[in-house]
Amino acid sequence: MNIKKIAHSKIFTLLILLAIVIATFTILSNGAFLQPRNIRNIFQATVVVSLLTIGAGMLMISGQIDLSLGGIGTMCAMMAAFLMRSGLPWHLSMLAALVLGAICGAFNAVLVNEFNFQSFIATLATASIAQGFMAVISQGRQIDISDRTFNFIGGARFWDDLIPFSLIISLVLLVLYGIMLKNTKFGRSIYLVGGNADASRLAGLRPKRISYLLFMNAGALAALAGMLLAGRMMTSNTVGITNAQFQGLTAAILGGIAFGGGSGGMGGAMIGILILSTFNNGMTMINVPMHWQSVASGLVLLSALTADFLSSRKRTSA
Amino acid sequence: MSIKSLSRKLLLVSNNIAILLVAIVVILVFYSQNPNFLHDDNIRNIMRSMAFVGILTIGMGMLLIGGEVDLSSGAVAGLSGVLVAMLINTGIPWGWAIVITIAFGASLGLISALLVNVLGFMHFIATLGLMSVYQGVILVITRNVFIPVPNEGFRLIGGTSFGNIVPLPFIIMLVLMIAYTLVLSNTGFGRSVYMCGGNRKSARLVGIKPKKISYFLYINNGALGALAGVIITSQMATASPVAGQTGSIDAITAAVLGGVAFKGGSGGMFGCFIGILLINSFSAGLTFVGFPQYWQIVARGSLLVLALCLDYVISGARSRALEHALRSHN
Repeated sequence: MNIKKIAHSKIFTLLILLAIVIATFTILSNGAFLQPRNIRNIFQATVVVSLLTIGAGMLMISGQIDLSLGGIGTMCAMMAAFLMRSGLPWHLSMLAALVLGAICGAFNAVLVNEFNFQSFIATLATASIAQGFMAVISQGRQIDISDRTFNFIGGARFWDDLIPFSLIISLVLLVLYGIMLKNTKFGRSIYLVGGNADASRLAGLRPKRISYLLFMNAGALAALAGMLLAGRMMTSNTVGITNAQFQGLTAAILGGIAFGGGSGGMGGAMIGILILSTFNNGMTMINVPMHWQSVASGLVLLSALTADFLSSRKRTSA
Repeated sequence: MSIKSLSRKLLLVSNNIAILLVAIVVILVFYSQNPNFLHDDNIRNIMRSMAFVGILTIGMGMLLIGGEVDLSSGAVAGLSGVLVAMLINTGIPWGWAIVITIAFGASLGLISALLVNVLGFMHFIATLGLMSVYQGVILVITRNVFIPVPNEGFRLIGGTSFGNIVPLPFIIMLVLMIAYTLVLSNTGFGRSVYMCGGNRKSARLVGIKPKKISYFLYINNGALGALAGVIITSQMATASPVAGQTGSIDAITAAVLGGVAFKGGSGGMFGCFIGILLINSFSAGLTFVGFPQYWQIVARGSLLVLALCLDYVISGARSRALEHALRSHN
């Protein structure tokens, strides 16, 4: 009975999928795939995506979507780099960038809650504005970062160079947010709002306040993601984390966070992120050209959606 | 009954007039900054750039009126622009190359329609995924370099202009807009598009098939996207891997600025035309008066937010007016 339940759970399916991906690439790359350095690279690549997935995933659970996280994160990282170049210490620069991210999130929330925009178009507009500001701040060039501490936070590695510091940050945050979602009143209210906003209001929740908090939270996390990447590269460039936002969405959907909200959690999202990162790394290992990877990431998103569609059909018919 | 339709018509018309006034003010402001803004050359340039976004906006406007959206249409245009260049460069006559490309665009539209209607994906996320796929394919087949098209006949489409002012692509766009206006306002099909966007459920109850209309709208949008791609490749005599990147957003901005309700059910091609006029004279003007390049990106994003705010105010006023009319009628 219990084993049957485990075998039917979403997480179990995802783990099998992960095992298949790992096995395939290990065979295709003649074992090079499982070298410790490469495993570290796979985990390193999850950092940015994890932070974006936490923010985007919680918004999706509450029934919203945010397509501006890549733009916001890139702009905030650029802002931090700009401030440090102008002589501000690293902690103030990081704080300013985090606040800026939260403000951008609040801007999204205003558009969605006060002006009734659909969240995808509101955040798409914010993304293009953020991209513009990023270009204004940077004048279209990358800004190098020489601050030791900032670069340490993004790029340091411990234990024989195998454990990135930023990975620890992202894992801690994933666990904290996961516990918050499952075990606190606030976490459960997010599910309620996503399941039925009207009913949740009647039950005494404040969907608007939750929406503001989630958008601001996602913006601040995006800023952190952008800065961690910038610290690792020791420079803030104009592409930044723009492409990672797409992976964040895909990981959330792959991990079982349903669109239109109401279900899913951080555990599934975590495995979703790992599957994506393994897949991307594997493609590089077996020398799939860069350009094909953009095609593949779109196809993975569409297949994740299809899987979601199939499983939800099974759930409703059962 | 007559009160209702009259007040609704009034609102629709006044909406278009408001945007038209804004467009005229924008043009006059730039003209006062620099009289050359209304010089023949600049007018031709503005018309030239209107054609590409304009044709995309026709398809996007129809989708929005019907309550759908397609974020991949810019990428469809980009991919089609590359395809037509490659076909012509293999020696296929340019006429046939265009026909094949437009059929190709229509089949890409069919893919969007299938994902939305058969698999039930939300339209924006399905088309976002497709956009990423198409943009990847563009990079793969062009290896991110420009493809010149040295075919004289093909270049005439984008290069001809009447009276040395009005470019042929602009005329194509105008003709298409008039045709689609006629379809929207004078046929049962056009009215059912409005019904689907306004209220899908009641449209189904009165015997309209929303799915069938959705298929048509996506396929139509794909074909128009391909046409836009053909035109921009012909105008530049080169296929560019980045040509369509902002196409979808620009088209949505133009349509919503022109009074197409973002949630569907109202709007028309005349509004779309003014929306495109406004956007293109705005960005041409910014360049003309030497507005810094990077701030222009900010300005264009803000324009979309402005358009949506306007949509919010107008649709709020419209529903209040309708309620009022209904109450006084009863």
